[in-house]
Order: sequence, then C-alpha cells, then structure tokens
Amino acid sequence: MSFAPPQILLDDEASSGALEPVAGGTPGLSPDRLLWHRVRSDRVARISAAVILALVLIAILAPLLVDLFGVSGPNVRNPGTLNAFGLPSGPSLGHPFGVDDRGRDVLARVLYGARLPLEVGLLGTALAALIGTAVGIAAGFYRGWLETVLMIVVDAFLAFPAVLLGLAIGGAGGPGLGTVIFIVALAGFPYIARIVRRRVRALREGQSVLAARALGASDARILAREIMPSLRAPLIAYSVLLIPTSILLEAALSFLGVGVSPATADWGEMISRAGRDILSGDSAWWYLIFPGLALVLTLVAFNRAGEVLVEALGELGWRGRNR
Amino acid sequence: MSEPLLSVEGLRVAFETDHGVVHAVDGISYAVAPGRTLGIVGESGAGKTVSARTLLGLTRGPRTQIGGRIMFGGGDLASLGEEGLRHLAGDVVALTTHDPLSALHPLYPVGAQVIEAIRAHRAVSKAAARDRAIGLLELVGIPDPHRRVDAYPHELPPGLRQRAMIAVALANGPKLLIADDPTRGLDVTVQAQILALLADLGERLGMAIVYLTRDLGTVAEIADEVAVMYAGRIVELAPAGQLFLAPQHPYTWGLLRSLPRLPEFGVEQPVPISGPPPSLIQRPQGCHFHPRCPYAQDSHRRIDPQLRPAEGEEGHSVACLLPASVRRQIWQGLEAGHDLPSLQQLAGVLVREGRS
Amino acid sequence: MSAYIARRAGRAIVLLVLVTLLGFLLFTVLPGVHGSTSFPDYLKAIFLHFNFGYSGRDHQPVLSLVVGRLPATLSLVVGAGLLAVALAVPLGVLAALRRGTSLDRVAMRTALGILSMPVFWLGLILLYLFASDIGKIPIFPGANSYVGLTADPGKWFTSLILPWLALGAAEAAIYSRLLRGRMLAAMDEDYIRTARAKGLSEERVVWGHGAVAAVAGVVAVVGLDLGGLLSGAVLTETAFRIHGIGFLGYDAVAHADFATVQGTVLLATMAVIVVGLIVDVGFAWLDPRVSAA
Repeated sequence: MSFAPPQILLDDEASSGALEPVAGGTPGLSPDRLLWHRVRSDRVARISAAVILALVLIAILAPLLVDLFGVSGPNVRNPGTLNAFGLPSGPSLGHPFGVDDRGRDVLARVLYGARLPLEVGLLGTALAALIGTAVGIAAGFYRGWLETVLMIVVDAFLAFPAVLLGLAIGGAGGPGLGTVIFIVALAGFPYIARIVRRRVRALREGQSVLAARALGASDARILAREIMPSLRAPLIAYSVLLIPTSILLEAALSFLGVGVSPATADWGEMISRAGRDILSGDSAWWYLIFPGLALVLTLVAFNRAGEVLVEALGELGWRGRNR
Repeated sequence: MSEPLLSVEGLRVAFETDHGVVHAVDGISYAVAPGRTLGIVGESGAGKTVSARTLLGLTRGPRTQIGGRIMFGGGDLASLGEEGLRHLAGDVVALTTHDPLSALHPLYPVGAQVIEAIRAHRAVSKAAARDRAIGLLELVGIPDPHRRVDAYPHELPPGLRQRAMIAVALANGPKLLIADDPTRGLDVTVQAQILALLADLGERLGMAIVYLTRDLGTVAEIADEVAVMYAGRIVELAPAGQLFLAPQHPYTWGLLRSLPRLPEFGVEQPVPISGPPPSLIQRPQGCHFHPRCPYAQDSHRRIDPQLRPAEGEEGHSVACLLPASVRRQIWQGLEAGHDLPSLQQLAGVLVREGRS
Repeated sequence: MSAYIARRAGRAIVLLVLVTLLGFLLFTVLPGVHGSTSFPDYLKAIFLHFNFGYSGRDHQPVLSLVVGRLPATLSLVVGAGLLAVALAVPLGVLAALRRGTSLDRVAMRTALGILSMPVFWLGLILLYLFASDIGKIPIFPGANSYVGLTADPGKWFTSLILPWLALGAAEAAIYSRLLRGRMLAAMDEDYIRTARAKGLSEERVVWGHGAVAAVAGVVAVVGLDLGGLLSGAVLTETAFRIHGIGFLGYDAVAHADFATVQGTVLLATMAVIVVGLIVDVGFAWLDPRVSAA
C-alpha cells in the first residue's frame, strides 16, 4: 500500500550479517549524532524537514491562517455558494479553493484537514514504535521459545490486510481518534518489531555486549547501557519511514467512512465526499484535487525524510550490505 | 626463454575519485611465456588485482585512465574494443579469483556457470556443453562430477567451490589464466591442494599463469618467476629461486621475514613490516618505500628509483637506491640473524664509504 | 527443499490458527459485536464447518459471499500485479544502470510522487479524466462497470483498464524503487565481474546475472507484504465500485453488517497466508540458499 513497509522488510531481510556501527571518519560521535550531522548536511533532508515543520505549523495555526486568508471556518456553510441545482461553485476570489457540496470553504477545510492526519500519523507511529520495540527487544534479547512465539504473532499481524482490519475494527468500534490510532499502531508495529529484533540479536552477539557480560553486567544493565543507546538511531529512522504509511492508512480509513469523525475536516474524508459527487456526475474537481495534493505533499516530505535517515543509517553500517 | 605469450609494457591505471586520483598501477612491465607461471606478490593495495583485471578490460570506466601496452597474441589488449575483448575474455584469457562464494553466482548451479562460459564462445549444444562441464569438474578434481554439476555454490565445501571456480575459468581451454589469490581464505591443507592443482594444470594444458597473492609462501610453490609489487610498481623481479635465495629489495626482505617459521632464512619469529601501506593518492616523495624502509638514507626521500637489472644475475631486476654491495651485506646480516639496529648502522656506514 | 516446504507449510498452519484467534479476540472485545461463542467453538466452526459467519443482510453464508466476489478481486490484483512487474522491472533495472542520469532522476522522482499518492485518489482522478460516463476525455468504462471474465471477456478487459492503471502504477512505483536499490547492489557484486570475465554479452550480464539477483531479493519481500498489496486492492475496488472482496467489506460496514466484515477480514488474511506460502516456495526455488538455512 505504500513505500515504507516493503523497504523496511527488505532491509530486515538483507541485514542478516553483522550490524555494528562502522568506525567512520568522525570518531567519538554516537550513531544518533552522526545521523543528525548527516541530515543537517543533506539538502533533500532540509527541504523535507522544512515542509514537515510547515505542515505542523499549518495544523496548529489553522484558525489564524483561515482569518489571514479571509475565508470562513471549516464547518461554516456559506450561503449563496451553491447554485440553483445545489451544486457547489469552484475556485473564486472569495473561496480560492472553491466550496464543497455543503457550501463549506475548501481552503479552510484543507488547512484544518492537516490536523487529523498528522495527529494520527505521529501518535499512531509512536505507539507502533513503542509496541514494536518492546516486542522486538523481548524476542531478540531473550531468544528461545519466547522469540519463536512473539515473532509468529508479529507475522500473524503482518498478514492482516491493514485496510480491511481497519474497516472491521473501525466499523464495529465506531468513529474516534483512539480507535484509528489503535488501528494504525496495530498495522505498523510488526515492521518495527522485526527490524528491532534483528538489531538486538546482532548487538547481543556484538563486542560491547560480550565484554559487558564478561564483566558480570546484569541483563537489565546490558539492555539499558549497551542495547538501548544503539537502537536509538535505527528506531528513529525506521519510525520516520513508517509515518507516511500511518498517514496513508488514516486517509484510507476516512475514505472508507471509518475515520476519526465524519464531521471533522480531514483530507481523506474530503476525497471520499468528492469521489461520491464525481461518480454521480458532478464536476467538483476542486475538492478532490486540493486535499489530495496536500496529502501527496505530506507523504512525499515524510517519505524523503525517512529515506534520508535510512540512507544515513546505511553509511553508519547499520543496514545490511545489500541496499 | 621462448617468445612471450603476454607482454605488459609500462602499464598504468589511475582512477579518479572524489578524494583525488588513485595511482593504482604505475608503469609496470613483465612478460610471461607459454606454460610458465609468473607470481605477483604484494600487500593489498599494491596494485596486483587492478593490474590483472585491466588485462581483461574489467577496470575500464569513465573515471579510469589506462596507459601502456598489453601485448597478447600479436595485438594490444589495452587498445582493443569492448567487443574484441569479449571474444578473448573467458576464451583464451580467463580469470579465477578468491572468495568463490561471492564470485560465483549464488542462484545458478556451478555446472550451469561452466556451461554458460562454454556457450558464450562455442556454438555447441547444451548437452555437449554439459558433458564438457562434467569433464572439467572432473579435471579440477571434484569428486562425483555427475552429481556436483547441479550443485549450487553454497552447497559445496570451500575447497571444491574454489575448484569449481577454476573449472569456470578453464571452460574454453585458455592459453593464459589469471589467478587472483585463489588460495586466500582456505585452510592450509586445501591451499596446498589448490596450488598443486594449478601447477599441474599449467603443465598439462601448457597454460601460462599469472598468479597474484599476498602470500610469498604460496608463490614459492608455483611460480617460475616472481614480481614483487609495492605502491603500484614492481620493485623486484626475479626467477623464483633467485628471489628466495638472494632477494635484493628491502621490501622483499620484509615480506620474507614476515613469513612464519622459515629457519633456513634465519628467521625464527615472523617480523612484520612496520608502518602502514602508502596512500596511492598522495604517494611518498622519492622512493615510495622509504617511510617504511629501515635502511633508507636522506637522499632516498628525493630520488625515485627505477627498476634496473641487478648486478650479475640474469633476469633479476630491482628498484632500490642502496648500492648492490650494501644490499648484499645487509641480506647476509639478516640471514645470519644480526639485529636490526646494527644492520641499519652498517647500511649508513657502507653508503657513506661508497660515496666518499 | 521438501523439508523446507514442510517447515513453511507447518508455519502457515500455525499462522492460520493464530489469525483466527487474533480475529476472535479483536472482534469480540469490540462493542457492537455479540461475543456469545467460545474460542474453541469459533475455531471448530471455522476449521471443521468452514463457517465464517452469516450475513443477515444478504441472507447468505459469508464464505459463499466472499467466494462469489473472488473473481473480481483476483482479476484486479493479478492484472495490476502483471502491469506493475512489466513497469517496475525495466524501470528499476534501467534506473540502476543509468544511475545519476536524468532518466534515473525523472523515473525515481515520478515513482516517489506516485507512491505518495493514495491509490483511491489516483483512481478517482483517472475516473474524472477518462471514465466514459463522467470523464473529460471519455474513453474507458468508468466506475461500477466491472463485468465478469466469463460473462464478456471484452468488457471485462476494458472495465478493468483504469483500475489496473491505478493499482498497477502504485505498486510499480514502490517496487521499481526497491528494485533499483537491489540492482545497484547486485551490479557491485563479485559475480558480475566473473560474468564479464567469462566474456558474456552485456545483456546477459545485466539481465541474466544482475537483474535475476535483484528480482529474487525483492520477491522475498513481496511474500511478506501481500497484506499491504491487498489493502491497495480494497481501496481501488472501493474507488471504482468493483464488487470484489474489498468492496464487500466496505459495503457491509456501511450497512452495519459486521459479521460479513469480520468473516471477510479473516478469509482475506487466510488467503494472504496461503499465497504467502506459495511465494515463499517460489522464492526458495529462485534462491536455493534460503531452503539450505
């Protein structure tokens, strides 16, 4: 359904070899400092970060921006914008992106519509990363039957088509932010769990852990002092790569009518409404195109950011040999 | 010595990289006659592998500069087009390398890889090529070749995998085999078997072999002639016996002394060569070896020695600024087990005396 | 090899039971569902009686509903998959061979753009532009025009052109980028040098040695990502109103027919597991190293 999951799976498959950070030309820097350094010096990464920051600001400042553009709020039905047949009017000076089938300003709805995708994308991915890390560490560190059981459960979750599962859970659970975040986390955590497990396994056999163990360090200490710090960089990179998938799933659920709320402005919901009208023959291209473009811009920015981070990981020797 | 089959004349290979131009091979010359084996010895980064791959055009690219001539069968391989080289490669000139697990394709059985090499150059049926492949696997000493022909590289033990790699190279009965450290990474007993196999094949098939290695020990068992490479150049070239009995270059001494347990050379404990290999982008001024040479004199930092025939011995050349008599005395001292400081002192005294 | 197949098949059976359990847990803890049966009974119903629930709305067992919708989904998925392979393999390989050129940059940026487009949005745009009923350039059958292959092969084909384009482009975008990465890695491998040293033609080196390895590497992932691919199909069906399994689920939720959605999810997940097993075996055939491990 999207770019990130196959990429994560591919990296997981390819990284069966040793995964120790290579000694680069910048000694003394921790992996995440190196990652940060690489990101700062990369033009694509800077642009992506700027776009993401702008999107977050838009989401937060949507009320201000709506005032700034002089358009009505996202749920205000503007009288006189629907023609005699009840059809909405397209872009005009008063409504730069036109109005939708209920006479609501599309620009305002696109601005406000950034809120849910970002909220769900970030919180859902964070929850997925949390669960995935816990499962991945438990499996990779303790090995044995626990690993076998955990990883087959992870693969079972991986088999569920995320959108269908979301339909079933969202349909029965009813609309709500919590439900959608739950679905997104459920769909995303297997990818994180797999990649974390692989890395923990490699780290566990690595020099520093063996040394710590020889010095009599406890499991808890090894986890806290040796494993967790080395997991931070890959965890950040692959989590960012998972965000666009989470946002896409949020949009898909809204499109299918099982999103957070049919009443709140949301890109996926707008596309769904536009689709319904277009299929019935009304040429309402503006409320199909603008929310979609906003979604594409968001996804490109997050995809690029994730890619740069994962590439930087590769240069740190944190990915398998086969890219 | 009969007419050479391969004659490399002033070969240079330089790669442009983001960090600068890498002078990987810097004007080397050598010749190999049919049925003879030339050993090329040097540390990794000395330029052996690059020079060998250049013979088959494998280093060509937009950022590579190649100079000099590679005379083979009356033509110059260096100026031959892609198509012309393709006809020679794998047919009359073949390459076998170390690390067959990555050098053989993991998704094809070894037999298929031999068959592919045959059919790239000979219009024979698949069945005939398969028969020939089985024969080749038998020739290189793979037991049960009828079964092994369908084995994948990962299914063979390392020794047999290396033999399969050699079978691929032998597919069309080449006149010249370039063997790039085929014993690297193998157990000592398997190494000996592979060396014996190559020596036997060279003799039986009348094939010339250019044998590249980091290990002077293996070269002793197979080469008729040995070239020692350092920083892209040949620093000493001699008949094998001569090189081991009367080596003339301090780097060759270093290589010999770094071999484990060769009491006949007066070395009980291996003595590694000190210092790191030189950068091929910013090469040392003067003699490239001077930063690591225990006997280097002040003038050696400025003067760049050329490969010149060594005194007295036919076919023995060396690129060293120390006078021949001084080198002879140092080597005798090394063989006698004198310690290094006294030899360094001796070198200094002798050089000063020679100059006055 | 047969030991490997047995191992993978055993794992698939465990997965089938496991997804049934997970489905049971997820669906019974949720409100709006009457969880009156116990898990053993549920398991028995599914594995012994193939009872995946009963649709109150359609007055049919969910299994027969799903089976009835299967041809439409299969037509969409297989056609889009073939299109994706036909686009992604040459594009990914060529982009890798011409790394850094404008072809590489344009192809990979286009791919990034397409993979960042929700497939349902892409589908709706295609409909808006080309659907014969509502499109600006009405040349292809639009939404709700799907006809079964056996009913009318010609109409079946034309009705699927736009959906195939939407889903196929989305998949091609993802996989061309993955393939490019794998191809770059493959062309750096030692065996490529060996192939050149054997005097093989450049086409044989690129396709027979480089691309084969790159594709094998990606196939391993396709098997794990079938769920994601099916998700794309569900959204495409909904956008184009193709009455396949995805649309069945969508329609059922819209009419609060939860038994049907849950049965559909479970069946689809089981299909993913079974097809995944087939892909695994195919992959082992492509790359015999996996079955040796």
